[in-house]
Amino acid sequence: MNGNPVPQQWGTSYEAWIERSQDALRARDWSTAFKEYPWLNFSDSPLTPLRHSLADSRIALISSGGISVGDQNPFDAEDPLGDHSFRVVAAEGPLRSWRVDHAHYDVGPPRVDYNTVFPLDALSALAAQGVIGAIAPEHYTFMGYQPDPRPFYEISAPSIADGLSKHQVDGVLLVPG
Amino acid sequence: MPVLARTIEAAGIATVVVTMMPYWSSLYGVPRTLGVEFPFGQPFGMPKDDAGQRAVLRAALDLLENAAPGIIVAWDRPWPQPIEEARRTWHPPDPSPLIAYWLQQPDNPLRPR
Repeated sequence: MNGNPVPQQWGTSYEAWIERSQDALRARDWSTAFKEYPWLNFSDSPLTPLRHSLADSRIALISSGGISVGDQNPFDAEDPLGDHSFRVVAAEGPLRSWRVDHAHYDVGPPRVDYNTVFPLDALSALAAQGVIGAIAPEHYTFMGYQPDPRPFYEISAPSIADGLSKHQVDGVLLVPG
Repeated sequence: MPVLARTIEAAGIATVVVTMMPYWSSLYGVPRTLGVEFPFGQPFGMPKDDAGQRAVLRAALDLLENAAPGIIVAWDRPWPQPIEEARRTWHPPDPSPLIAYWLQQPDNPLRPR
């Protein structure tokens, strides 16, 4: 898959890890389960320059904080193997209804104000002030717990990248929970 | 999230990561990082703090426009509560996999300084 950052040989390490760790995962004993997890790492830092000045750029948000909006299906925070799906937030804010589902950080603050992890209103305000050229028509959310990141990078990430390209987005803020 | 930056950069779109775990960016080769060592769940600051949230956002956007490859910039404004109180309350009762991993490392960057 073009753009898939997970090396093919990583799967072998993952299969060995899941074999050893499945009992601890089911028991939600994260310390034991992730003790020998094959974390990815990379030695380079690719960098695509911003095509235009910030004041002429269209900016989108991507949050891994587990936010869903309106009547979208909530993320599955209970599955010890994670949830590789994503949601499209086609709004400039303020959001009238949202949920936050994520078992691995304190979701209290974003349940009060989603801008703590998904600063949609703040980005809209900067667009209105002319600091950025425009806020993108679509933003993307997922749940940033992906023990096996392959389904996310094979299915969800290319769709997100296609959406960004389709809407001629120049720059993206990536924000964890 | 740091790995997703690579996919999006490969699609020709500039990215900046705003994160409470900036040390992770060096492992993942993140193009541009704003390290905001605020509590988890609040990388842009406290709920309803519009001015604070916009300030972090503007710093991230400045990096998007001006950063050199692989740069990690530290947000230098302090958390507006006593930090030890925040450390006690910002994690769920069971540490997340990332945190559980780092707590076991001899060079644990989460160790109180």
